[in-house]
Amino acid sequence: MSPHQPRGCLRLLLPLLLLSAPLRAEEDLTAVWRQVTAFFAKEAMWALEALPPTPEAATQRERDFCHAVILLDLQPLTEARLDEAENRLLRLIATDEDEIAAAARYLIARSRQLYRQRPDHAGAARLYRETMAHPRGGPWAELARVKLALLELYVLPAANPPARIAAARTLLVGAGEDFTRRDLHRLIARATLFYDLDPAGALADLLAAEAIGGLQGEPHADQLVQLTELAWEFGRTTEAARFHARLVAEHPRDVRAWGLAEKLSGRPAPARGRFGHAP
Amino acid sequence: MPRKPRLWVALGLALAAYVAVVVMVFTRPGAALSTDKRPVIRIAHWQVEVGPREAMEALAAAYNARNPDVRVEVLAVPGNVYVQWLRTQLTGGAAPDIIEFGFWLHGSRDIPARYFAPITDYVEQPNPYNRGTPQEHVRWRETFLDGLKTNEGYIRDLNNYYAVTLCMLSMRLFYNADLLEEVTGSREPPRTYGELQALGAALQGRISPRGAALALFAGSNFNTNVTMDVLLARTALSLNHARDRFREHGAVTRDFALDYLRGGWNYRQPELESGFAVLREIALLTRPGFQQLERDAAMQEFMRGEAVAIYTGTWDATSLQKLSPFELAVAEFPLPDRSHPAVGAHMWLPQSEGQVGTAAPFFLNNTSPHRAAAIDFMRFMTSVPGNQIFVEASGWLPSVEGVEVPDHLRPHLPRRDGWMGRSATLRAFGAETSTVWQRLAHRLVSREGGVDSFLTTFEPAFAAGLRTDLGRDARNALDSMRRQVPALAGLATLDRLEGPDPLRLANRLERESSQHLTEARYYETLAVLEKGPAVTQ
Repeated sequence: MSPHQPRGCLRLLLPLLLLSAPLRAEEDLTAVWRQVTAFFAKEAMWALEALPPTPEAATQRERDFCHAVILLDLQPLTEARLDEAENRLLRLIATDEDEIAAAARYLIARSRQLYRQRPDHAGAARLYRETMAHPRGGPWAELARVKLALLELYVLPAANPPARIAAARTLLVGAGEDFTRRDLHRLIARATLFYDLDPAGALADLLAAEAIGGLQGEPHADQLVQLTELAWEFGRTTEAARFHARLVAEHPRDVRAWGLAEKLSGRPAPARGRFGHAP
Repeated sequence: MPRKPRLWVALGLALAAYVAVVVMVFTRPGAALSTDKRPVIRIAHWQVEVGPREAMEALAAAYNARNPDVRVEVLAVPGNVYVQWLRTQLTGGAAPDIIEFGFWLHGSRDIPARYFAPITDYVEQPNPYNRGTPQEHVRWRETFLDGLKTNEGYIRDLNNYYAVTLCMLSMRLFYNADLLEEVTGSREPPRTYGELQALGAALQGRISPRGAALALFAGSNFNTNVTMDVLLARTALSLNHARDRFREHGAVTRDFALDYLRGGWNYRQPELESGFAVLREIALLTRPGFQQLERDAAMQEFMRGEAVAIYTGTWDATSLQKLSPFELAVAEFPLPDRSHPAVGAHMWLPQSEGQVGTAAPFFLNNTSPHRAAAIDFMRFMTSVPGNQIFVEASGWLPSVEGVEVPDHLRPHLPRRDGWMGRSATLRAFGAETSTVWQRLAHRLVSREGGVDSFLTTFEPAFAAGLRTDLGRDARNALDSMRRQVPALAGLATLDRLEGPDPLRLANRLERESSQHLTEARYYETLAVLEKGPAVTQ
């Protein structure tokens, strides 16, 4: 082996090592995020604090964001800790307008809506609107749209329930993803039934949600049952039978299929009471 | 001084025993001074009945034989101290790796979010112990008879799978066939509610060989409450469908509870008032004072031949079969039919015994030092071969597809087809409503009581209790929603850092979608608690 060979190897390896350094830092951070997704906040914080210092501003920004998110799951969740989390998120908003800034807006809104002892619903709604308008809002803008709809449907001041439904319906315009539209239709349908408004509206929204698709498991079985029941209620028996057949085929363990089959075949069945606008 | 040597001997023996115990404690596998360095997986359960206790040991033994590098230890803790024991262990950081737990354990709804680890990632993969069975390539969760869609298996508010289940339960009437023959001339159990009533009437004035009045039903607070819950849910089925605001083929419990506060129904509805009349009929065929008695007392009453039947779950089947000195007959509880004068008009038959629900849920401790080994044992005990071991040793029904049900267990298989109510009658919606029932039920079930006098005092107290329980329920939902925010933010961030992963994306979108619905339900609860019937204004 020539004495030059090791130096040659080093020359080859050095750029690779330099290239892999930031990559490793990102890998380490993704390991921290995995702890967060598994609800291990303490362990995530320990792992984050154990990461070696980084001179990279972008890497540090990622870590600051991660730190703020972990604070939202670290017990005890005091007002002081929420202040700290929100301040960290505000600093991220002040220093850049990337996707992290959009995420920070969304998370401050969640903090003010769900975490604070005295929720600030108006403040949360304003931040959701800002997130929706953010040029790099990505998934956060989609989420903000649905969360804003929830506030419109149940919490923000409104003249009456139809006004709530109308306000939420405006959010369908501009939704960037099919699943956002689907979830909005589903929530509007639920609120329509909750407020005892005309169930024809709920049927239309659930039909729209089903046409978009993508629901799995029990939520989808529930939706097919609702479509069967509502279609049958409005005399749309062919559609009702079609949704029932799908329930049987796609959710064979759902025992509600038996009762629905009785209903659809015209045999006596327990009657539903009247809710406001029953047809 | 002849006593002194004896005293020294006694003290020496006591000391030797103490030292022996200390040595055993500190040198058992996994303890500080043990030379056995194998990881010890501890699993805690409350199934101390004859059958399942041995079955758990059999599962551990079978697993230990296959996996010599790990040791599984089973801790059987009686149900009456289980919650306190578990809370102490969890708080002290000394809880077992795998823990049986149920939401029905009062005052413990916070436990899963605080102390248990989600197992969603694991249950989405096939169970390696199913190799060579028809379930080999099936996702672990899909191998369960109910797809793990129980309250505990998939925790809706946490949007994650948390537990695997070990068995399927059903409720049955177990008869003393000898006594039945003595009274009716036949060993066949009654097939109709009318025949059941006739049997009750035939027992009037009869005395057991031990001199006690012969009752139709062995009674305890537990057994009779279960009987009443099942009966009232059946008689209230039409009301549950009538109040199905969300068109889900019956109102689920929380929606049914909110509807009560909105004025949608009350306990004076004919369906419920007549249902309470039936409950009273049943209570009067049960030993007086049953409310003060524990489950064991009912079992003993039945075993002593002082009651013809006991209504209980399949969890007691093996104990009854092994311990009873007489032959058993098993049958479904015959429900009142359309001919019943009080409740007949509201009865819908046949009735399903509900979604095939699996039970005995086991959770993974969040802080288990041997998570991989613990998951491995959870996989084994709920694999086709593992669950078969459990079924054969316990005499309980399986939780897993493809496990053979022995012939003698077939009468216990739950009836699937039929009408189904989707909510209990809220007698025990939460801790407060449960206390109200406990405090006032004597007005319904005692000989001096009656439906009217019971409802006069019960309904106002129930309404107040329900408000408290719903408030608590909302706070728990809020805690759960808060916990989801960082986790879902983490999933979205991982997609940004690592590039979108189709499985992770699908999982996040599904969980976010469920989370939106949880949030809607949370705000519905707050709105109804604040405005009551005026919520539609």
